[in-house]
Amino acid sequence: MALNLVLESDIIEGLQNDVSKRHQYEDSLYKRFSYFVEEGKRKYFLTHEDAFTAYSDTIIIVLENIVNKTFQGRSSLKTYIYQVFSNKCVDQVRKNTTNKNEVHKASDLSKALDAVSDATKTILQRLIDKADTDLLKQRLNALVGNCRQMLLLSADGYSDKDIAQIMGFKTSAVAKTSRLRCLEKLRQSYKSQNDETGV
Amino acid sequence: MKQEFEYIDDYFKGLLKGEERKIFEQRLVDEPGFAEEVAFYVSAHGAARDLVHEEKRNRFREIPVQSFNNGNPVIRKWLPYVAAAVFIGVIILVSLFYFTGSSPKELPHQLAHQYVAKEFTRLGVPMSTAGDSLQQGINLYNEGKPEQLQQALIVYEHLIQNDSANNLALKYAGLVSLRLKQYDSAFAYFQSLANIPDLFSNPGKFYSAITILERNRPEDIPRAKKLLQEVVRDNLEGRETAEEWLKRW
Repeated sequence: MALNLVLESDIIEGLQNDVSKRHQYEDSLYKRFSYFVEEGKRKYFLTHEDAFTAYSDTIIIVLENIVNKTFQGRSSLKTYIYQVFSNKCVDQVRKNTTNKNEVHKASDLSKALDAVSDATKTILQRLIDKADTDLLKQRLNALVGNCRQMLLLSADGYSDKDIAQIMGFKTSAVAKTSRLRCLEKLRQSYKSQNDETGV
Repeated sequence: MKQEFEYIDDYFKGLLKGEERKIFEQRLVDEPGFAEEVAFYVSAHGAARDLVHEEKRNRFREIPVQSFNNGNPVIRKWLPYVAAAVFIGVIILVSLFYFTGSSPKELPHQLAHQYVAKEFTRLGVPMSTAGDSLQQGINLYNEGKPEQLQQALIVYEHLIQNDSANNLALKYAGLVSLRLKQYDSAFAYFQSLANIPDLFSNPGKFYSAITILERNRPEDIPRAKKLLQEVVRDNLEGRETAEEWLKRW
């Protein structure tokens, strides 16, 4: 598909409504402004790898914001992406002079806890900090059947209705029940492994 | 009663409202076990997102990065203008066709140029010339390179010096000069050819017209038209082509 010639509005429409072709629209969006990588190298003196990371992370954020409709089209997609990309380049510059993980960890947690009120955020923050993220990822990758895919789809912003369509469930309710069972399996797997290692 | 994860899921998906949200958040404060469940839910979601992002990054890495200059942005920037220009061009062509009832006319020098490219790129060998200087000149002409064309011209000039009425030498000297874009010389040779009387077939006048059309000076066009009209009137070599061009003039 010659998605490079597709209009921005079509890409946004496709990302929000065409579940079966979402990956193609994602790749198209990535490709469309990939010349920003050169801009990152030139303007912020980043290595190619750092400029690529900045641009990839930019597109990942923009994709999320398009899918969950946080991006409301008040500016052109190019302007929006460039603004996010500039911030990501600054992050990369900072990352090279500070602790690499802290920059990212802070932004990831703030995103995850957006829905929580300030009063309870601190309690959750403390508990989340104790979680062994690497072990969780390892256990997620070890899940059998469709569980891994289902949890990843959910984390990627697909609704239960989308998951039902992609994975062939009859209804979104069935997809939701299956997804939450998978989460329960993950918890048991994580807990038993965590107990074994004595953390 | 809802399963715990479903309850937590509903909260983060915004399905709990008002009082239900307050109760949920109060439980987070009051019930450490519940808080741990919520923390696991958030952590698992975060870990899954990390994996999704890793997969996306790996996929993106396979996509070639476009440079600023050869990528679509430049094309896209000019695309509306190009489309508008094409649209206007189509309108003009359609209008021409509609009002004149035929396709747009080619300019006279374009007709001549096409004729030269088609007819004079290679020369055929007259039956009487095998092995002689004329043949040698034709072979050099058909090589097509400037050096060979210059040598061919020397051969024909030598023949003309010996016999100024050598019609074939005049014809080929004119054609070589035409290929070398020495239009004044070519015109002189073809005019000399045209002035030779009693030839069974004399293309001199027709070739003279072609030469000055190729030269394309302002005064050449009416002069070429007059020559072509004479070719038709006197039924000279090139009459059919001259008639065709004059119709499209």
